[in-house]
Amino acid sequence: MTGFVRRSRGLMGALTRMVMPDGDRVATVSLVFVLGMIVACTAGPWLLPFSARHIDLQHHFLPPFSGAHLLGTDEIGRDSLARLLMGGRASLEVGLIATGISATIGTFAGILTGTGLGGWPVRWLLQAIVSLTLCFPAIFLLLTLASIMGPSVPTIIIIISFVIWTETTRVADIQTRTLMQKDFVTAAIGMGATPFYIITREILPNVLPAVTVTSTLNLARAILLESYVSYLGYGVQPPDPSWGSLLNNAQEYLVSDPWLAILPGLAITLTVTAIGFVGEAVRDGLGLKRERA
Amino acid sequence: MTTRDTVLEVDGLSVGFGPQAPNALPPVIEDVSFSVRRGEIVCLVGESSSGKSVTSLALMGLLPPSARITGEIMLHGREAGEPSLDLLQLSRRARNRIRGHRISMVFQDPMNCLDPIFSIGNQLVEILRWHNALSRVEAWRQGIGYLHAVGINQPDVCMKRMPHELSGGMRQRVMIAMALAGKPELLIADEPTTALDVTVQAQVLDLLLRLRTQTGMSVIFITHNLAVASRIADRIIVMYAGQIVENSSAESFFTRPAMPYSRALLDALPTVDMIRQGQKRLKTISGNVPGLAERPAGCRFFPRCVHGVAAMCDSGSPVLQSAGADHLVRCRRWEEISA
Amino acid sequence: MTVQETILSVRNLNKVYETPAAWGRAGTRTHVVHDVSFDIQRGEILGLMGESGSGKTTIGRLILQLLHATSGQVALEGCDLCGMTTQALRPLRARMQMIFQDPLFAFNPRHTVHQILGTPLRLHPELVERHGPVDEQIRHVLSQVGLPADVVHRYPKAFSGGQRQRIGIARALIMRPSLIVADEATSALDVCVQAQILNLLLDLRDELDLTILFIAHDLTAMGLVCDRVAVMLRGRIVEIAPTSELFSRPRHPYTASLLQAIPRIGTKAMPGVAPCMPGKGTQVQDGDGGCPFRMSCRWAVAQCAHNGTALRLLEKDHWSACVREDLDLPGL
Repeated sequence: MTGFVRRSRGLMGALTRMVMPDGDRVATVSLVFVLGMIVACTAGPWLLPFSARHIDLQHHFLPPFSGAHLLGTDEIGRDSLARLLMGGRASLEVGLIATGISATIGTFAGILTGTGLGGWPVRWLLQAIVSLTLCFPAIFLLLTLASIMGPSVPTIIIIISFVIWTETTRVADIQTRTLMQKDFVTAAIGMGATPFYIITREILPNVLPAVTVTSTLNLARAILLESYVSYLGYGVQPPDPSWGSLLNNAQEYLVSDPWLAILPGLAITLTVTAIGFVGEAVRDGLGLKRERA
Repeated sequence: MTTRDTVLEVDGLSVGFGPQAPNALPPVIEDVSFSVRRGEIVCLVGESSSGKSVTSLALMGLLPPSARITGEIMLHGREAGEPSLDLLQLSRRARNRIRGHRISMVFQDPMNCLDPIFSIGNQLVEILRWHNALSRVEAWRQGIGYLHAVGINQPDVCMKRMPHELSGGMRQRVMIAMALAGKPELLIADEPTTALDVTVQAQVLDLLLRLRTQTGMSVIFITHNLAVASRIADRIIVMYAGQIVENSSAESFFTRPAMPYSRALLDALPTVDMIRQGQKRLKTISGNVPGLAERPAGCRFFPRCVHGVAAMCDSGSPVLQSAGADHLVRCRRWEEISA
Repeated sequence: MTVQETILSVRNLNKVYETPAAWGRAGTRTHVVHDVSFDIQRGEILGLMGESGSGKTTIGRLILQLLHATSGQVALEGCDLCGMTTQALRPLRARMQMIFQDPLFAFNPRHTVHQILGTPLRLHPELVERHGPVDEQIRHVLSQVGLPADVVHRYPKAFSGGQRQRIGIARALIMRPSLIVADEATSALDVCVQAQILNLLLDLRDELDLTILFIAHDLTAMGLVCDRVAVMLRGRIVEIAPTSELFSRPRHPYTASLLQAIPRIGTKAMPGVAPCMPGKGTQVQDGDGGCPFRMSCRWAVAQCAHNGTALRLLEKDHWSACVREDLDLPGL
């Protein structure tokens, strides 16, 4: 039915609607928060008077909003805000890169199985890997791999990607299968298109929206996983902070100086929740169905 | 006296969607008025976006709560003493009691309406027990009777089948049996034969005619195909861009269609005579049904009408006027055109 | 009449779907297309009529090599397509094109009309060499199907059903194919729009000498546009004849029953109702060599159980599979 108010479609449309005055309030606030957090973590540490490793010997355990340190200091006098932002940088970096890797691999693998191009060996192999990773509880898999490979930032990125790519594969596979049934793909085959052409021009652009949504939700998951692992001491190593290791650090002083735990805890919770809201808004904006409750 | 042999009277029914005034869109259907007599088969004919389906959903009370509905839908009682009900004023609960019981509906795609995980018998028994206080055994026995009534051979076998085991025609018969289970006074059938093959379509149309004679129920049959309509209709109501443009007895309509749009619909249909004579080209009208925002100010068909006269047709919405006994038409020039 | 040139020749085409026996369940064999043979001449519109499940769509896809035939031959302008590899087939695909039933699903929703119509030319650069630059060809083909040239930057969603079907026809035409397979190309359209599209197909046939295989279940539309009509029942062609012949003097009882069922203006149905069987009761087993219609046929004789699958030439161009050649069946 034409004639109704036409709304712009696609990813940009979904994002535009979020910042429109009549858009979804929660999503708007969430989007602003996430973007703000990314900007703060990227640029923030340079603008602060203290670096994350600067030790202020006179002031340790300074509570927030008292004196020169805006959010106080930790047990050896390092600036909490600087460590929070640097920690965020590590957490977001791990999250974004892991999500990017898993989205790329997952989309490729999903399209491969969805089109049935590799034949049964490829499908069988991928299905085996996917089932295996889905069988293991993510956190145990993560810890097992981390203890084998030894903790470092690149390792943790690889491990998290390995844990979350299966979700993207599943989504891309289902989307591809549905698309393969559509007449426009039949038409392309009938016009003499090569498999490469069909995948890049007909399948991929129509799979990407769903993959984008999954990736947004995966990003939240990746950040959370990084926090788990770092909290348990297998992730980002001291003295470099991450949100998870900050929490780990703070647990000794939980009773006497709770803000040390509250600050990174709040940062993780708010960021993950906000990303979740943005993801859902994008999904609704793209008109994709909720895949599971 | 007229009330008693009329089942349904629709008066000034308008339905709108979307935002409230001041930036409201024009209503999807506007000032739709007609009545259905007892035992009458009324065919609501129109192309897509003519508003025929919205009209039927409004009659069933199946429009989403956001729809803005105005007008009156009076359902008259069977007996002289029974009160008439305005369906639009009823509570949702009272409406639910009428739906399926006094007014039933059959949809285009029966597969979407049958639950794939229950057998036909199961679903039929449930509906029968919903309408009447019956034991399971008694309901099963009656269910077989209903399947027999819709022309299914071996109804006891059919009761045990799952929906996917039945052919399209069989499923549509089952749907009709379910719609009949409440002994409705009025059956609304929304394109019930469009998805069916020609031979099956003919059987389902015959079935509706026979059921009408047997039970005396009225039928509102919605279709876009005038040839199908001509096979069963007592009355033809043609809708175009949200309005009724012609309302006539079938006989009068097919001998003297008055509205240019109705004539265009008839001309666009390949007829048996054309095939016999080897005539190839159909008469067509240019353009499409105007969208909601593009509806012209005057006669809505004017931009596509070959008989349109600018000064006469392009301003002020024409009203339905009499073009003979039991024949209403929304055209100012019908007399000149017919001559 | 000039010398006839056979564009498409289909011989003994079969398509069987098999599910292997597994877990103690017997395997199934579904014969969807059964020994189908026919020819189409240049400039001819052949109608392939059948009810749902008759295998007409499968035949269309087998001809276009979108499905692999189990056995049989499909020869387009004398070259057999069935034995070819996917790579060898690709350049030949430009010579046969398809028009789909639902024009909304036939287009990638993310492509503009320009991209949709440009795709065939990108895939077959020789078409650009032979017939001129892309933009010019797109403009030309749009005017052929009666669309203004300024629609090229719009997306399929922005069009009405009839306009979309015109774009679908344009996409097929831009490759200048020898054969067009139109699968239910007008079934999803409104009456008035359907008439426009039928007229367009006829105009294009006259103008460009197109050869069309018109697959549909609507006999009236078929009677109008087709030169010859083949009637299918359960994977077999049971009758094939020139349109006027077939409609006025059908020789197969199934065809006659279809003609009787056509809804037409001015004939009110009689309220008598044919019985309808549940489930698979009326299905004739595949491959029993008998007529697939004999269970529902008034004129069936004992012979029908063994005979009545092979087409026989009854008179000029009129083939029927019915063993009762003596029948005088009512036409339209």
